[in-house]
Amino acid sequence: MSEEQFPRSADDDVDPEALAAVQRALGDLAFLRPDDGDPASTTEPMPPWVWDRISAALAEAHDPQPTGTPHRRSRLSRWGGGLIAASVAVLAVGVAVTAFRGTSGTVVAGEAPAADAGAAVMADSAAVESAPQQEAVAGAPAPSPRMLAGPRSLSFAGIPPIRKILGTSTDYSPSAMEGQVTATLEQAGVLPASDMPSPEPTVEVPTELSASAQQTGLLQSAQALRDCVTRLTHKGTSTALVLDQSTFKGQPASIIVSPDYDVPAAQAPDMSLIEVWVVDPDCNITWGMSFRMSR
Amino acid sequence: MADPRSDSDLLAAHVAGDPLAFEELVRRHRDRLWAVALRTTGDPEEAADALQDALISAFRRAHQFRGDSAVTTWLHRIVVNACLDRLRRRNVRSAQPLPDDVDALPGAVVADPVDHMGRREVQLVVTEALAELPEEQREAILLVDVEGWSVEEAARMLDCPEGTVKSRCHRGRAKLAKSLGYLRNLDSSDPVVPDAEGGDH
Repeated sequence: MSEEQFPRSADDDVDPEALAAVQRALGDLAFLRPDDGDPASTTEPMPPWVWDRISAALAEAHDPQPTGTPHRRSRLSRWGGGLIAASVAVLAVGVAVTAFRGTSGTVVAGEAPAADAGAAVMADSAAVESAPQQEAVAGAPAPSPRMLAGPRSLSFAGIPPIRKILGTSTDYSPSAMEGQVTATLEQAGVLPASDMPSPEPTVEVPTELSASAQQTGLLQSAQALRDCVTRLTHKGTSTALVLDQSTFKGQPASIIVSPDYDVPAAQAPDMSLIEVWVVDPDCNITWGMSFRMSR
Repeated sequence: MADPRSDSDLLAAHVAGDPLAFEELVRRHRDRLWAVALRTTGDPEEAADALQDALISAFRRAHQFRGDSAVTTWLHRIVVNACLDRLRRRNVRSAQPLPDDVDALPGAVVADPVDHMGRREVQLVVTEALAELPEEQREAILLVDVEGWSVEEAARMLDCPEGTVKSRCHRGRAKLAKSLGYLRNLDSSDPVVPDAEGGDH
């Protein structure tokens, strides 16, 4: 039966007076009209802080800043702000530690650097399995003493911050992002659904990532990854669907995809609304979007 | 010096790769877009978030602009829809449903909510209820009931049959009437007060 045939439904049993009141009220929403004729609608100057955010977001949409160059902060990038200090601290103790650790979980990590404050990073406990350094990719630049191979798997005692870690080599772009992310989720087998199984306590790291010694930032410690996902989702118990270490507009980037956790605390995440963040190794967001996944 | 290009020229230049054109377009209309975002959400932070969402969306979808309305109208609608999406999400977060079943409230001592609502409050409540509608119904109602387009014109803009627009409007209005039924007291000189049995006096 088509929409045009007006099939009877519960919606048809409406109080005519209520219907009339609603139509009157809708007619009073002049401010929603493109040209409402209300001078007040056009005399609300945009505050400078809003313009700063908008222009920064547009600039970033045009051209994500490469790592290391200053960039204006958008709504998205401000989320990553608080993580910078933590990430910098981690960097200070050893750039190449490619370890993951859950909030209170077990870690399977690369070799910890000597002078470690890494001990602090690894503090709560984790059991670590080192990936042999000899697994470094043949032909890749020889790792410096601080560029060690990463983990092959991660075991979390707490809620894992991620379901899958991939290195798809996809070159993500803003215009194709929705389709690319969907394809990545399909490839990873983590298409969001309300009846998804609990995340696995152990997350495999693809060989090309664990052995490439290219991991920095997010992948240098489990805490960095947990902090980043928490920062992005605003929820410490969140589990993102995928982290894809690939490229965005040709530049190396981490693409983190998550269902929407912007819901009341006791509520499950909105599995139909997909959030995508492109972040640099310090979890600074260089680009982001959300889209509703069609079924 | 102000950019002499028209809005549609700026949008076309953006689609063609001009890195400055879109920002210039937004700069030109920012106050108006801000005003509608602020009035729709009623909150500066929400308005800023919604506006950013909307403008990034417009930035990315500029090539889809068909030219059957002014660029400002196109931008305006994107902003309104982003604001309504934000409101819907905010409503979910706050878990404070609209008083959509006032008639069922026990006791005549329950005040008519309309008594406490000024025009602006009513606008916000209606806007929030509008945000809860399915997107297709919302779009149809925005065009026909809010913007005042004919069904025929709305059908052309939505690229669907007129009957579909009528149906979507009908369904959407019915939903709103159910959730906002208490507004029928708004213009009444003899306000209806819910009694203990839920009937009207």
